[in-house]
Amino acid sequence: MSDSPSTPPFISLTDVTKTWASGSTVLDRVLLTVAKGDFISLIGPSGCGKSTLLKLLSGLSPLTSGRITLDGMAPDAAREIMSFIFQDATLLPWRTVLGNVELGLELERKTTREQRRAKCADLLKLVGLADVASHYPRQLSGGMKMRVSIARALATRPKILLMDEPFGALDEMTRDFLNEEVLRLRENDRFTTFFVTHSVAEAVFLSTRIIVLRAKPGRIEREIPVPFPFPRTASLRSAPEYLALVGEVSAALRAVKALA
Amino acid sequence: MKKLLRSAGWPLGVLLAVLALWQGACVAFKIPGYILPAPPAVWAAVIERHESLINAFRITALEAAGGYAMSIMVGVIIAFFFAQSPVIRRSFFPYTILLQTVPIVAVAPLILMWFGSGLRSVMLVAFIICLFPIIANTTQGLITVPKNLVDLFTMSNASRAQVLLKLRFPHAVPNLFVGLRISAGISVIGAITGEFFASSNAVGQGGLGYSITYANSQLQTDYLFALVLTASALGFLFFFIVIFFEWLFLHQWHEAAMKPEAE
Repeated sequence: MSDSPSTPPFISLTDVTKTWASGSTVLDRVLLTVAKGDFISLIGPSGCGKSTLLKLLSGLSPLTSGRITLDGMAPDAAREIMSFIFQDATLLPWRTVLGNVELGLELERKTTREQRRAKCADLLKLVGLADVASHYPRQLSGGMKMRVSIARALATRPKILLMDEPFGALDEMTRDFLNEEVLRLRENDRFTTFFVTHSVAEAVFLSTRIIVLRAKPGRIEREIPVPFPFPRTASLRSAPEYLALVGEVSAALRAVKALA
Repeated sequence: MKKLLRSAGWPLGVLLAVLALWQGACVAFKIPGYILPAPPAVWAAVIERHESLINAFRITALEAAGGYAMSIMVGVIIAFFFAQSPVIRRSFFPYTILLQTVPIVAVAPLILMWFGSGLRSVMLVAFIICLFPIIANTTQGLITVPKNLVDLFTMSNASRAQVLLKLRFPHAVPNLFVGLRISAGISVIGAITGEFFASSNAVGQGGLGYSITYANSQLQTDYLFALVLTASALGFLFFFIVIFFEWLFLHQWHEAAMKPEAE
């Protein structure tokens, strides 16, 4: 929405509707435009379709009606500029950390093996995983696995990052640490992000905008801008304006839960 | 090593107890050697006829290994084919069960009739008997890949071939080894059964199965026992070779793979 009227928005969702074969509507006429570099958190009660919305954006699931454009492309065509980070780390257990991070570039077949190796080794250094590059996923903790998953997603230099509750299964300290890590990586790459979460604190800490969805059918109920400037650091978590906004978003979330 | 000795101690004790009982029974009931030879008589047969035992071992090992190797190649290719669609699986899988349910002793005479006697026919029997566990287990592994991993590959615009070779096949390797373990043992059974029907009877060309029928007809029961021991040794050998490769390929990444000795 920060774009001037002459240029089309970076991402736009127009009347996006998704109905299951059983006839129940998960998402009902969702309307949203997103500017380049935005960090959008999707929050809402279970059944509000926030994860489904990510599946639609990624083209993994087809729309029932409506339109999505990402940088001028339909979802399946936009996969080249998108990466998806799943709830669990979804690492290939038979590959080392480095092998996992290489996967995206390897499947694209645009780079030579040596180029991939070098690129991914650099990336592992950036995310602090260089010393476990030759480890297998089963040797890593949950937080480490998720960092590998993030590194793998970033290896292809995506313009758009879709994250489906990536830190839901982690303890709070690890989660806070990874939140800061995501923001740090975002400073380098400026990817536009859709982030599904259940944690209000996390949403406020990371986002430029928070979208609160209601359930049955899933609809956008409220949009809450997060005004804090970047780069944000851990100290933001104790700032009064941060705590006030967490309170406001929590209240909004309670309100939509009461609707259902 | 100490640990190995300790874990080998118990089965060795059982072996000694069985040998003692066996010896005791032979003496106490005065069982004639052509019905049940005592352990020393079997051992004497092993020593005395070790040359023909080694020769028969070599032939049967070759037949079993040949059939086994073929079943791995063909079985994995069939599993790849089955992994392509549920319709293919539903259409063809019932017929692969035939491989398991039709008794091999009923098929062996047909193979003899169609392909004649000799190494190739025996290999074919071993191949047929080994095929099903390979197909069934590999297919299972190929089709049980978690949905998120498939989505991950889709997000990278992976081709069908990439999904098969970089995702489905590596995911199926632990299952493949389950099939390989089962088939390793039965490949020896297949080869011996095959020899009952289709072994070459030229001098020095008969394997363990052929020699077993010969020893039986001649009432050389001590030699028969020696042959059975040799056949078991062959089965063990195959099994442990597979276990070794399983460890080699899986121990680094697979949770259920055999733990190394250090554990």
